[in-house]
Amino acid sequence: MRDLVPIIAIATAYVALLFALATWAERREGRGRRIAGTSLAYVLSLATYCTTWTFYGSVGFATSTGLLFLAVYVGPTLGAALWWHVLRKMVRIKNTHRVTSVVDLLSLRYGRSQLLAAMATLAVLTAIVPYIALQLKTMIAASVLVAPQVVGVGKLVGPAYVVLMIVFTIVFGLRRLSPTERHPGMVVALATEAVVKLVAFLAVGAFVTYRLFDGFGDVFQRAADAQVVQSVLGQKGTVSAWITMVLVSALAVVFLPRQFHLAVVENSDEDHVRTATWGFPAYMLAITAFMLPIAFGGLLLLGKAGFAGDSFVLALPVMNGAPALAWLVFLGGLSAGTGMIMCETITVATMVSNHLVLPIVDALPPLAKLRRHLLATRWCAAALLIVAGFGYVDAFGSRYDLVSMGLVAHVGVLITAPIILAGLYWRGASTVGAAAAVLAGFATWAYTLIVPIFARAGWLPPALVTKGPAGISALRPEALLGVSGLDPFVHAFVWILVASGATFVFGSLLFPASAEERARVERLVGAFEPAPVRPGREAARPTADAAEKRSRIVALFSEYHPRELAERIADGCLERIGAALPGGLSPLQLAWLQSEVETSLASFIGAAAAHAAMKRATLATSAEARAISKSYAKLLADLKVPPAELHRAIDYHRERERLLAHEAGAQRFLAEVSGRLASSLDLDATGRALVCLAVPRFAEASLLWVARADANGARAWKCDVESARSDRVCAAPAAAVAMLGTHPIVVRAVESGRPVVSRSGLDSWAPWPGGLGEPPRFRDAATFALVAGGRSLGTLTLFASERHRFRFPEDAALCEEFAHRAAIAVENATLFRMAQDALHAREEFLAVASHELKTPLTPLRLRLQAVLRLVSRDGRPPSPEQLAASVRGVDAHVQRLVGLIDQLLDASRFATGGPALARERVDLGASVREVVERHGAELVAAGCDVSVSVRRQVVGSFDRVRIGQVVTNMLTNAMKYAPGPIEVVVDADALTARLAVRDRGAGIAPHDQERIFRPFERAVSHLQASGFGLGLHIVRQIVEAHGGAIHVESAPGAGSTFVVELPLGATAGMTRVAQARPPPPSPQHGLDVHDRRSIDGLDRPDA
Amino acid sequence: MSQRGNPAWNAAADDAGAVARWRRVLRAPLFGGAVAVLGFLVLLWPLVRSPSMGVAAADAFLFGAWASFIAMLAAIARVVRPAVPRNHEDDDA
Repeated sequence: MRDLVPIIAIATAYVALLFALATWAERREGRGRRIAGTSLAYVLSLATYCTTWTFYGSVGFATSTGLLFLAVYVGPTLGAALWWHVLRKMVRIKNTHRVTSVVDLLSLRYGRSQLLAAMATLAVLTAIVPYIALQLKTMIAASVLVAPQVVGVGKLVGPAYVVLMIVFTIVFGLRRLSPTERHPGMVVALATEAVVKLVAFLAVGAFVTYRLFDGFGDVFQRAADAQVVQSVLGQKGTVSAWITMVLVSALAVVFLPRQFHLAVVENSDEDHVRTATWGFPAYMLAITAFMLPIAFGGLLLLGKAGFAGDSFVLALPVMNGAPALAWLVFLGGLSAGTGMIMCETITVATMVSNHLVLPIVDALPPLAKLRRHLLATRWCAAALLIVAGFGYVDAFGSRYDLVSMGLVAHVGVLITAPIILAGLYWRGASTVGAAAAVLAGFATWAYTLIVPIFARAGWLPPALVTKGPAGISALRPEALLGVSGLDPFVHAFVWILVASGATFVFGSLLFPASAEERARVERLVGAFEPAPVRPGREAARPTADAAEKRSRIVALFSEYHPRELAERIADGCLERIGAALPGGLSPLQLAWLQSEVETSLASFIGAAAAHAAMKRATLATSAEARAISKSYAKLLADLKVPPAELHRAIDYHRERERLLAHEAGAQRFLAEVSGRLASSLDLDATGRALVCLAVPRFAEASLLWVARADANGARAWKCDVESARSDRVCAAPAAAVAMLGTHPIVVRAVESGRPVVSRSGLDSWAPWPGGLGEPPRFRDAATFALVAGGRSLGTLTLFASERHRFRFPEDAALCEEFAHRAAIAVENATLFRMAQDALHAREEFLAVASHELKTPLTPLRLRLQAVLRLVSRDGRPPSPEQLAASVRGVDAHVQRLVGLIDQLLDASRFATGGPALARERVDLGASVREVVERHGAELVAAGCDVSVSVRRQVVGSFDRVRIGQVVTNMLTNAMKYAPGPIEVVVDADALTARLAVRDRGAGIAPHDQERIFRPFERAVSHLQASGFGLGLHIVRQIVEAHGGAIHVESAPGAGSTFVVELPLGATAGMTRVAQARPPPPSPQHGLDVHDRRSIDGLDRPDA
Repeated sequence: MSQRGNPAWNAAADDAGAVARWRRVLRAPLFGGAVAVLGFLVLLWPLVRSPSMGVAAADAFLFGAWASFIAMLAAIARVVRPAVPRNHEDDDA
């Protein structure tokens, strides 16, 4: 007896601990700090599926059938693939209709039929007793194992467990009347139990695998050597049994009453279903990982000692000197058993009170007072259920192993599952079909599974099973219609499916649902559709007094609740329909009130009983009922559509209203965008306005990048919603801007002109510069190209986090339009800036041109005055030498003027189409030498020492005159800006000729190196150097017309090297080829030729 | 605002819609059914091959396939996550 004390003490202490935990969780929940409402608690509570059947029985099952035991866990895993649709739909229906149990859902779907609910409850009640018995049997067996010295320990602890479980169940789950109110304490207790049993099972698994054996390989090898494996594989592991068990367990995990209660009724957030789809299968994978090693270990170590497979989990630590582990396993088994019994009893007791007791009470008026004692009724039902389970153990427990008992119960309970499942998707399923299916399924289950049990127990003649009733072998329960050779469980399952499926389909087709039922079913089948529109305040005259209705509602609820609570519920219903007290109710408000009252009532007595109670209470008088009918008829008549069409019309208009509202919002936003963007043509102001407009409407941060914002290149602005309001917009740092241009997403958007969406979780998320877009804060980035006039001007990137995600395609369409307007605004701002720059350049050019053209005119005038003085001297005509010298001076100034005007003409011509080329075979080295020679005097005067290095002879197809012009301009440039040594190098490879002019001047700053090739640009002020600033521009035009390129290599203080590269191919890069002209004249005639070309160009506009 | 005839939007639909399209596929009940059937067939394999496959190999196969299936369910669960509803809209509706 002394060994019994620790068992009772540990069990009681464990339950007390769970109760304390549950109380703490409920108090915490009351303060708004959720524990039970988390997805982890939800997933763990679903692990109540793993009962003692899993904890002890599955190992026993594995010893006899090998891998077949896994079907019980693989089935729910496969079924979980559909939970997002099926389970979530049931959760949605529960939230709308306040469903209390799986049978309640059945009756709600099928006409709120009390008869159907009662039949299903009876079926569940009959089948669930063996299941509860199974738990009790296991708990008792475990006690026997941990206290083997106590004689008759089973008979002693059995009643103690029964009492403990009754108290446990009532205290945890049946303290309140409304089962749709969540039980956070119970959920937390169940989650804790799930952890305990997992830890215990893993501990014993590791003990067996790694302490008693040397790992998985050793267990399997020794089992194979001892031929244990062969015996296991050779047994009942058939494919048909596997398929059947997979299907049954896939349904069981959701449709067993306790599982439905935890998965649907206790669900606090639909999104938990998503976590459960993988979290719960992962739990099952963990708990089953060691089952086969434990089974093989038990067979090897305890098989000959006469231990049953069901007891291996506990017997292995007990018999191998691990008492602490044995107690942990005992607690794990206790957790598995108590959790299942408590939860199952709560749900079945609720079903019994709602679907069996209440209909009887309704039928027998003297029992009406029982309605006020509904909670006590549930307590009694729970106690009777547990006692019945114990009685079942006493009667049949010794004849069947755990798995057989569990499978029988599973199949019985699940008779209603396919009917509910079909009802959620098949609108044509009718109440008659469902009732017939439940009857047929239950009868088949009883005949094929229960009758053999009774016959073997001696309660029925054994010949009933062996020979069939009245000797008709075709009616043998385990070989119905001659179908033999199947496992009895598979055989029963097949026949139940056939019988209930056939009656369900034929019943539904022969007795279809009424139009009213079909309309109501629409709300269940289409549970994911938006909720129907509730009637608002009508213009119709009130037909009912709100105060009078309140008193009726209070009277109705008072039948079940204390008056104070009844008044509170009634006030809640009136408040939800917007009724004022005192005041009147329109017919449609009255109809809505009826619906609200029925739903509130259904939340604690179920849909069927609530419907019956509403019929009994007659909330609306016959006159009011007629007024409601008239109102609906008028509504339908006005609409000229049948009810189903009306639903569709409502849906259509709701969707239309939503779209219109969205469109109106979009138009308002775009109008605001246009207004803000039109307010300024300044690029910086436009950029700041743009990034600001995108936040927070579309995203939490935005980044605008403009490729060619100004002379310095790209610019970027960013805006972050989390920054202080005054500091929300800021220009991105230069380094970040430079990196943005090479960011892969930006490059992709710019190149394609298409929006690019990237996700940190799914795509490769290249880091964004400037501290933007960093994961994990931002999850999504959408980059829109700013396309205007067929060119990508830049990009607009929007960043969104997990909390604030993009909604495609709605937001994308609006974002695209926004980006389009942004592109136009950016282009306008850029063009405005360019126009301003052009104006500025024009003014500067006019100043420069005036200065440059006037500069030679003054000495020219002086020269002409000198010539005039010479020829007008009295009596002394000038000598021919004097006259020639004066005219040469005049000619030099005229040449300079002509040169300047030529430059302007060339620049003008190049701007409108590029120079015409007269290609011929030209020796580049010789041309260079010729030009240097021609300008020898000027170079010397400028202090330039020119060295020409022709490394190889370079002969190509060039325009001799234009190439001469290139060399001249480059030399003139060097003379002007970098007087000193000048090195000219001519070189080539197989394809390209290179001409480099190197000076030792001050060098050119990097930011000027591109600018100096533009027209009228120079690295220094025009006051420091003469000329139009067209020389290098003309050089570039000529070189590019030859298909070549020019660049400068320079650094401040290190001189400059201008490199011209010309292709040596005859036609490479040829823009226009003019007719070959005669070879150029000798250098001394260069001026003439130059002049002729210019005049030719003017004469021929196309040149 | 029109989405038609706009190449940029068509491109946007490609990118923005690529994820959305996958989500639509993964959220379809038929896809869930197909995944379940596929898993069923894969997990049935060791039973069909038993006993020639050997219990250790069958056990390893089953647990490996099972774990892979769970990983796939987790990946699908991550993708089917609905966007945060705004204006009380339901993306399933």
